[in-house]
Amino acid sequence: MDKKKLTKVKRAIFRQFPEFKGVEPKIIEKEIVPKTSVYRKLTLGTPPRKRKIVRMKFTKMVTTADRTELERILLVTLDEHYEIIKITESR
Amino acid sequence: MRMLIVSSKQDLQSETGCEQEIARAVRQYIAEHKDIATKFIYYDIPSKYSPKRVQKNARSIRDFISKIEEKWGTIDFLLLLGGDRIVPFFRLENPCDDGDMKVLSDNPYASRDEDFLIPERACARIPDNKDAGFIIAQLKKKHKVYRRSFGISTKTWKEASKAVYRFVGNTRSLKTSPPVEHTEFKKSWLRNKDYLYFNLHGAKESEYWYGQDGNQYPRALGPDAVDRAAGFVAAECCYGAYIVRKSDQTALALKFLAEKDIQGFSGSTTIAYGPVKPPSGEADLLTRYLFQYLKQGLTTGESFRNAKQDFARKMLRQQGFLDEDDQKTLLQFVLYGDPTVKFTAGSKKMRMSA
Repeated sequence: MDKKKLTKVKRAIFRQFPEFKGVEPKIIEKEIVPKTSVYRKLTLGTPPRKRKIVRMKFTKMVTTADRTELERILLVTLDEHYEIIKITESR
Repeated sequence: MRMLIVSSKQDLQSETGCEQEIARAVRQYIAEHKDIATKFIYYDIPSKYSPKRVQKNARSIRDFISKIEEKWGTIDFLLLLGGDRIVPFFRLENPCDDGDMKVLSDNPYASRDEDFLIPERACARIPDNKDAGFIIAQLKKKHKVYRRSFGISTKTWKEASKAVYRFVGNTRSLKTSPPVEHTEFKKSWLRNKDYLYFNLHGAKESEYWYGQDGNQYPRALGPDAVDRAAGFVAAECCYGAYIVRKSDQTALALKFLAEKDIQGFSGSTTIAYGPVKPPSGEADLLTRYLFQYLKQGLTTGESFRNAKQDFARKMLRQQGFLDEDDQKTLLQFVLYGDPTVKFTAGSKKMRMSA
């Protein structure tokens, strides 16, 4: 994994989501193999070739106004060039 | 069109104490809805579909449903009558690395093959809330069309929520929390509506849903604010549809369903995901499609099934794969209520017609 590029992404995430500043993300590189059965079921034709992605997971416990604990999760998906594909938050 | 209603005689009795009353209400429901060929079958009573009583586990009940379909024909609508202790949820492997050990799901009941991500049947569940009257009321619900909606979002997700809510309401009327807090939540906001939309935080052990602005998480809605609410509820909150060992006092999903004019509830059994801003993804996109199909006049069950199919198609076309949170979204969202209810283009809301 390219640590320099990942640090750049982390900085961008902390700027956009200051509440996660300082949280060290769990980083996983994954090879995605499209499921042929899902493509068939949805009549979507031939699945594309497998591809690599990188997932960054930032986790933080927060406390609500009534002291209920919530697990806040921020997921960042990067393509093989470390470009952000999507950012998702737990609801 | 065929609908199968499945339950357990023994557990319906032990959970509600009034199995016979419920069975009578189901028979009456079937008699009043002749446009759909409907069978009501207890999986724990020997029948022509199974000479032995079927064990109370999700896999065996699913196999039993498949057997009925083989003999009877395609099941379009599937209604699971009762909560987790009567017709258990499937406990599926969690595709996401988060706090949920398993994902509680009804998707395998809706799927004809082993690929549980994509539902084929219009499947819904009527929970029991340990009360026969609660179940019977779901089968007798009738309501007017108001042409009005209500929506509330965390302040943080306001723009993302607008992209969903615009399909059923005026985005200028979308409320956010903060500033809205549970103590100022007006009961009247939930009355005389067709669609109720909630994009808030939820927690497994709390009966409240929460807003957010930065590190502030105020209570936004609690069961006490739900009084004479009307419409179809779409909740994106984490654990919004989590009802195991809960009641209408401890789960907003059950509190909403206990209302006479609430026609259905879509929500997540576990930690749900969504984007921070548009374009819509995960729970936001699923809910957006659900609203679009409901507005087109499809039944709640068909709308929910189609929304999941369209969500998967969209993500596959866009990304070329379904990542972990997409997969979890497909599995975790469940539909509560009668799946044959539909909002027609005309002035009256009606049930399914052939």
